[in-house]
Amino acid sequence: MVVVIGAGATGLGVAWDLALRGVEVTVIDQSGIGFGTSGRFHGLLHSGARYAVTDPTAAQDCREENARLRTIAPSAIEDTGGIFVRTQDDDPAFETAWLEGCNRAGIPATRMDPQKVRMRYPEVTGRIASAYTVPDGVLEGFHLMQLVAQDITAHRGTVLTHHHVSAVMTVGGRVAGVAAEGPGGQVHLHCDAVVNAAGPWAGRVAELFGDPVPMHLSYGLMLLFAQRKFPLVINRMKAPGDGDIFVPHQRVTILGTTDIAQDSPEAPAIVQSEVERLMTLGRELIPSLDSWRVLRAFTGVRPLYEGETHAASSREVSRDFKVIDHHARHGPAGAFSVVGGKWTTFRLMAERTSDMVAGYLKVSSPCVTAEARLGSPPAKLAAPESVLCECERVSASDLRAVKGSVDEWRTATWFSMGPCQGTFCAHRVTALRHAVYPDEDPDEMIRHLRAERAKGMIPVLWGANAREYALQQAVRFQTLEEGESL
Amino acid sequence: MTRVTVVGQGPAALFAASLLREAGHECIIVSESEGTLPLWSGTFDFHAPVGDVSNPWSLLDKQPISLSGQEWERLWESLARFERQAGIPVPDLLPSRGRFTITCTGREKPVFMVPAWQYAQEAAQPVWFVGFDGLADNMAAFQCGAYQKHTGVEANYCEIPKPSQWTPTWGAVRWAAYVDSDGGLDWLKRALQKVSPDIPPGWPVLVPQVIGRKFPERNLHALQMATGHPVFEYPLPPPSLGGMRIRDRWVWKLKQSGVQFLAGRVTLADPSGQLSLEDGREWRSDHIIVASGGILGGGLEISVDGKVHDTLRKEVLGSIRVRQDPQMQEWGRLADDGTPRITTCGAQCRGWNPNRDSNGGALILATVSQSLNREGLLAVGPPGAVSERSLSHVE
Repeated sequence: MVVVIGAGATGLGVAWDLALRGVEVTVIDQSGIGFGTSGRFHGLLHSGARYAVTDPTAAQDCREENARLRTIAPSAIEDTGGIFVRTQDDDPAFETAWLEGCNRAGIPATRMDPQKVRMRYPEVTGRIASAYTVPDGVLEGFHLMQLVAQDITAHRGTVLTHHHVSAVMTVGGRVAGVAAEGPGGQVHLHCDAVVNAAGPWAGRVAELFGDPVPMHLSYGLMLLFAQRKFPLVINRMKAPGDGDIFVPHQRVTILGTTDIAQDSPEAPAIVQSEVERLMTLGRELIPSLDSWRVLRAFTGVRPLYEGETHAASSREVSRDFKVIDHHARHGPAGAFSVVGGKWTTFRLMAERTSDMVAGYLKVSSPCVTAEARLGSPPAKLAAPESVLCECERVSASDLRAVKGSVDEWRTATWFSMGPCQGTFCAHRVTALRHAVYPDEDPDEMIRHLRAERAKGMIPVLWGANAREYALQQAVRFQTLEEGESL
Repeated sequence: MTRVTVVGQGPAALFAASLLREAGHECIIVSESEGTLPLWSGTFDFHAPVGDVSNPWSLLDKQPISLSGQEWERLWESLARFERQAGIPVPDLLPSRGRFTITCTGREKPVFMVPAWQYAQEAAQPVWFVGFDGLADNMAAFQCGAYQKHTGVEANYCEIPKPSQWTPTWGAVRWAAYVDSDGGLDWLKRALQKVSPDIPPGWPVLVPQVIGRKFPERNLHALQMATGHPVFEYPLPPPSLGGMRIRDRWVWKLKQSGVQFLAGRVTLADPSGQLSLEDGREWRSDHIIVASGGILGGGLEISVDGKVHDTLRKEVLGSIRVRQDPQMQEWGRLADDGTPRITTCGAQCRGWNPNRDSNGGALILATVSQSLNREGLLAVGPPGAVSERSLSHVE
């Protein structure tokens, strides 16, 4: 029995890999599936081109895993393709290095006439020096995590959410179990090995092993715009920096990102000046950016592994990952950590981690995730009932079908995530929630839903979003009498 | 005859137009949108800091514009008169007591001037909630539970099954059209008749505000006859039939009285009285009353840098970034900003926060009267000039 801590992409990936090898697994998460970094990214399925110069290992891993994920989980991947644009302000020498890097990593980069770029995508800056297409894609993170979680369950594994691991027990210097606090009190799980895949919380979990892992935490700010402004990913060709990617994620566009060091593993509150800085950088690539309909801002924390060196900035810390056998350091036998890496390479990280765990457990069956197929979930049947979230077309039966917290309802159905940001559905969902889970406090529920939306809307109060926010406030306080207003 | 152009089509614009016609002025309304009335159930509220609302007249000095009790009374009576002239059933306001309506989430919300079709009570009393299955804002069970929890008063509810014509595309306006039809009214009568033996004597029956767009009075009367209980509507979030009915009838009445309605975006309004529309039309007025709304109505816009722009006069009025909390209500204009012939009223005026103070109705009345006074356009102006209160107390 193996306990994996963290139900993000990496943790689920490790549990999935082990489950397919016939190992009994339980994934534990303090919150829900994908509530850490895995649910807070820009959605880019890397071709590897972004790291072609600065991080060749990550670039090559990305290229291989990109191709694999397309066959493993086609329903979670959109083959948009991507384009790298060098503006007249960007270093031409970087282009040469970048092409060499792509070549070395086997990433197909095809030159595209800047004129053609302008004609096809007129919102891109007119100051294009050169452009290349690459096989970038878009990864639907929550969808893929759901598919993986389903397959874990299908292989007799367990996903235990809303449980916080408080202790790792050892017997004779070997891992023997974990204790976790959950809504029903403490639970004890006996196990032969523990894998720490807690992302930004990995440093804290490693302390339970008595063998600290140095982490470099930084957060990225992303802006979400309504509408799919481009059919493909637009990257700026320069050393990976801030405000240089636009990702068409389903029906919205995401502008990423920034990179600011922080200590806490929690996604931080959004700083207004950072939003303005990101807009300024985004405008360099898309001059008409101010006219786009902004929906909200969000942040995610990068859990990079610092290793034994101290890099000056997290852009210089490798996006490569590291699997640690704590027994080889100062920890007990059967304790492992996997840190760093990219969403795109989660399967590879899981494979390497599971190889090490399998070796420890003397399990001889090899990794089979590279050949696995994750089908798409059954198509939604249009139930003859009213739609509660009109922006995302979510009905009561869609919500009822999801077992979990109201935030899990949200990430599974996308309710309240559209242009109105919950203005018209938060109270409806609260009422439904109350019918399904009568023990939850509805006043607290609606406050939580409103606060969750306001958090992302307030930093981007301009244009139609400011107007939407004014409407939301008016509906809350002048129609629904929700209580204390601003 | 004095010619006045009112920019906007929300409650402030319509109230201004009614006052102007009453005073015998020529009036043109120009608006690029349908106005904000359909966003509200159509109540006009008068309650400064929520708390003791039993006597709104005692809270006069809490309003951002200071008027005497007599002045307030006269303004409320004008609004009631205009609504009645338009065929909107408004009960007598005086003697006036604080009242509450009940939201679809079971909360008591303070209201002041309420059309007769909408439920309002002075103190919590037992009520029977009716929900319509298939209406997105139907949450009668939740509503009933919340009402009981918050008031400690007895209540009950029932849910009426969908009519056979129903499809998932039915929004509030479609529901109202159905109830306006003979078949729809019949369906509702039968459904309520079936539950009426369960309803304790004397309890009012509260139905969602979709009881017709054109014939709500007829429909509610029929339901009253069918159940033997008084039947009222409770308000729903937008699109709100209550506000839509008021807008429909009020606009119709103004058109009958000779007000000209133009649709278009005003691109220029200058102190000479010149107005230009985006499509090229232009004309001159003696006075321009700007009632184009705040951020919600579209009269104000916020740019990426947080600056608040007057969309009509292309001026920057401030920035929402001066504080951590975006107090969007606190930017805007004063009625008298020194510009000749042009004056501002309604939600674009500075210093009001109806989200916090439940005084959206008072905001309309006070700012419109202040604007028309400033231009000398009221038939009988209130004695003395209306004073602009210091805004510090609303912080």
